Amino acid sequence: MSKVIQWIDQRFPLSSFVKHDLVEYPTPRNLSYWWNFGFLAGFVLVLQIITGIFLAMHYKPDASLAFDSVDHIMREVNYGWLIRYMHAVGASAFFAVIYIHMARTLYYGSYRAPRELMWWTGQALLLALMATAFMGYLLPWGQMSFWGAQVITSLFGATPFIGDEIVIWLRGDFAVGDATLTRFFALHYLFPFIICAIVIIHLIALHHVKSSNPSGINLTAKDNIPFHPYFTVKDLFGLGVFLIIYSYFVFFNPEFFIEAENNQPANPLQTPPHIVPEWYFLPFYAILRSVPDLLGGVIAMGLSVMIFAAMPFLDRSKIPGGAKYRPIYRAMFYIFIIDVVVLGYVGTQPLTDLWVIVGQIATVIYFAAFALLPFLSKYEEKQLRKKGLPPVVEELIRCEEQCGCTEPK
Amino acid sequence: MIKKSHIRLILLLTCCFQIGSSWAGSQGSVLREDDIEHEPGNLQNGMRVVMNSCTLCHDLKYVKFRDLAGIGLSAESIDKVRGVNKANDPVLSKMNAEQMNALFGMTTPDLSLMAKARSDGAQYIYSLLLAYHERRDGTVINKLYPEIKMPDVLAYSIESDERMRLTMEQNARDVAAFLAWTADPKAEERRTLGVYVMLYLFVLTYMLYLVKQKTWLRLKP
Repeated sequence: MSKVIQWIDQRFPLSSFVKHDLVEYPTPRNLSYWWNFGFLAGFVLVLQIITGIFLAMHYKPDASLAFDSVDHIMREVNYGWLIRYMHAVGASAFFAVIYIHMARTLYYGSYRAPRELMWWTGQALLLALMATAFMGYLLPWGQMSFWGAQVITSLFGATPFIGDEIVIWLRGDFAVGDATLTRFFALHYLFPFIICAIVIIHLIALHHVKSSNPSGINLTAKDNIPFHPYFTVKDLFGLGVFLIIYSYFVFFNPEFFIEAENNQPANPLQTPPHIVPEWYFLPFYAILRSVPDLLGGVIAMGLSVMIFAAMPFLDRSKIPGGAKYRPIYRAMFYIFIIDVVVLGYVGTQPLTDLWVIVGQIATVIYFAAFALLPFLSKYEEKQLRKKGLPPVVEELIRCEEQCGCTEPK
Repeated sequence: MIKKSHIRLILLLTCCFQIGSSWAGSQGSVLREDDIEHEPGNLQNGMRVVMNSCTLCHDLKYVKFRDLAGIGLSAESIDKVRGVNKANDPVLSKMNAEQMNALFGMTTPDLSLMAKARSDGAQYIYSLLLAYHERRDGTVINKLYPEIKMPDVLAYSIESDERMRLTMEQNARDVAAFLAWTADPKAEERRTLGVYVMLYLFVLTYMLYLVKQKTWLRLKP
């Protein structure tokens, strides 16, 4: 065995890679459980790819066969119901894990220098994940699949001058149909591998700048511990907790995330009473509907997803530790989270006067949080420095200046 | 350790949801609340009603006759139910699409997945079957779904004998139970497997927790 490894090592840096990036990889010892979610996202990605490949062995991307083939998987294929429910619940789990991962980054300010590229590759991953989930949702070819795709693809019709052409180009036909289904299947199979590639870039960047940590500054060497065994075992324990929640849904409540309407085959002649996207798109959908003008709504929706990328520029404060030592930023964080939940709820409601108003107020708060951040963060820093920072923070900043450990080693 | 600010947050959220749900409640759902039992006897009675009445007009194309073994029917009973059909044939309506169109102006929906295709599906089916009422002018309407084309198959709206009405209600419950089974025939297998998976995960996670605690003890000075 050691000879084989020796043979490989002369040609490929296997041992040194494992040692450098998996075993000895220095990790801040003060990471909380909020730092588990990146690993969990990676796990769910693998889970989705594996279950997806097995589903593809029995699924038929053909408008006249798709719905029946999903039912065939559910009834006739050995453990097909298990694989399909794992994949369907897995999509929701993926978004849940990613949103928590993002919320942690926002709370602790982990997007700040030198981790901007981590945040931006993460933003690219979010976009790729959303595209993959959206296309995957068409594949069961149920009523909500069909009408969801119909609504979302028609949004591109708001593009000035060439809107109609773009919609036809996306659908491959004048309406969502067989051509759309087949291309969505092809792309739904392709995108996860693009996601894997971006994940690798995300991880290379991570291993260059190292993990952020709750204190908000880079710690000295003595505060770092090897990744293995400390974080392998901590991540595995977190994985166990995750799997318990995940398995509850797979085995005891698998239709929880599936709209009842989607258990009816797609019918282009019959529009469902109201079309609701999956829960993970609801806040953005609510923003889309809150703007009276279609083009404006589409722009607002796109902006609401992309605006996170601007965070390293918008946050002007140099106080470490994210929201922990920053009362104004902390308040903004919680208001923003509540606002997103409210938007999500508005997204499920039919458009009555009440919900339009609530949606519009929530949309204004959503964007105001980003727009006010440069001024509030500057003001907050000034106030905090005038008042004198808490001794812990002073200590952290002094330590950082003394040992110059802002630069990753 | 819950901080005051957290309690305030939770209170605020509950208020939001209560406003939301009371508003949703006013939309007027008239589902009957009743316990639908899923014992083999109920499923088999439901199956009999479905085969005798529902399949006159409705398909259950995802259910094959041989699948009925799943509700405890013996091979002989399945043979009786399927008649001239093969065991591997799907349960199809006795009418074709043209006849349905002539009668109702539409093709009747397939029932195999109906209990999953409506929210709270089994209760919905049960309530729908009993929502027929005879009006003063002698016409019959369905209060739950007034646009429905389906006639009052159980004849519940014109039955006055209390004993017969109780039997009809039981039949409606059993039809709902049977259709819940056709929509999700693997439910029992899934839950049984789920219990083992959960037990395994609880033990595994607890052990990982212990390993984690023990490993991290090494860092204590």
